[in-house]
Amino acid sequence: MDDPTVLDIFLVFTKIGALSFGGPYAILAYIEREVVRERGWLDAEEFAKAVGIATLTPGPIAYSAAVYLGFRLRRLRGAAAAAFGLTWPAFVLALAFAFAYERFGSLPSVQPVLKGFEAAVIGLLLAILWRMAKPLARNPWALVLAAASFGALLLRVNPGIVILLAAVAGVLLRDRLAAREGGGV
Amino acid sequence: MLLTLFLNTLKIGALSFGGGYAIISLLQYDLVTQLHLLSPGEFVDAIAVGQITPGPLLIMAAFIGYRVAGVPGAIVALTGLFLPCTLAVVVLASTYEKVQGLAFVERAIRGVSTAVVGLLAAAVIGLAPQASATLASAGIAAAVFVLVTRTKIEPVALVLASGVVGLLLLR
Repeated sequence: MDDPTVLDIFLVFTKIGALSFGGPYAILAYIEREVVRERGWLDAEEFAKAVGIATLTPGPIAYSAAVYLGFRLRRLRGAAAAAFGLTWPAFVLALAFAFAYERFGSLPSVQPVLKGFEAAVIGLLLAILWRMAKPLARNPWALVLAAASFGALLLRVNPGIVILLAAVAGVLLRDRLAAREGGGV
Repeated sequence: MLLTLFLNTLKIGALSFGGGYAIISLLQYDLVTQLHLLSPGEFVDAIAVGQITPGPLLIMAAFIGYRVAGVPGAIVALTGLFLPCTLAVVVLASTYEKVQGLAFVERAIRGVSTAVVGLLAAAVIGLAPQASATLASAGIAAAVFVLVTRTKIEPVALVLASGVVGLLLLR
């Protein structure tokens, strides 16, 4: 196994942060290819553990997995290198978009483009929702919990409270929420 | 303003279990519905920015932070959102074996992951009337939905293409 420096970690995660599109699982697959298969910095077991920890922590799965892998490689400095590497390219881009939006967003010629973007976002969110909802369809307990959360939000309950209550419900329901056929929720 | 932004994003960052999509619902509730820091339309634009930038969707918070308080706002919003999970990962990295055995932790996470589906559905219902009000924009949303679920076209390409279609149809 090679011994990457903090700079190596930063550069690889910068590459991933700049080139990975397509949602959490696409980014995870990219990380696995770069860190495990191409460079052999960590093995598949360690990567699986990264995904496990990322599932147990808040925040984006791919980001948490990256921080864990960085930490395994070079402790705190490795974790920081992975965190900054993964996020700075998109951060700079998002700032550029925000700046352009402030300058040009209200121009009549730009408005239709933004409306197109907005419509696309609704389509994308529906697709994400569809993918997340499908595994629930066979499990009545999961359907009830998801429907209750949905209803609570329509009644303007704070989603933070819904999340805390859902955690309690998950514990009380024991294994009844587990997906029936592989995969997981 | 920066302190409000930081405390809210910190709280949201700490609550966003279940894969990150809870963020959409939490940000919408706190920043749009409660604090009126940005309009629903701007919020959808922020999600679009999250989709056309690489990396996690959460980067959209940089756009939101900038809208609220310029570059310092962008830095504060992202720091607030990422700090809790970064700390949680570092702490878990050394105690994972112990935590992994605790069934109730996994059950709690599963409860939240299930609820997030409902939260995201409510968020979409809240945003859709504004973002897909006309027949043409509803058509774009439907087309994107079908293309994402049926093909392997990258979402970023679909968002950019929708901008071009918008230029032709939504003026």
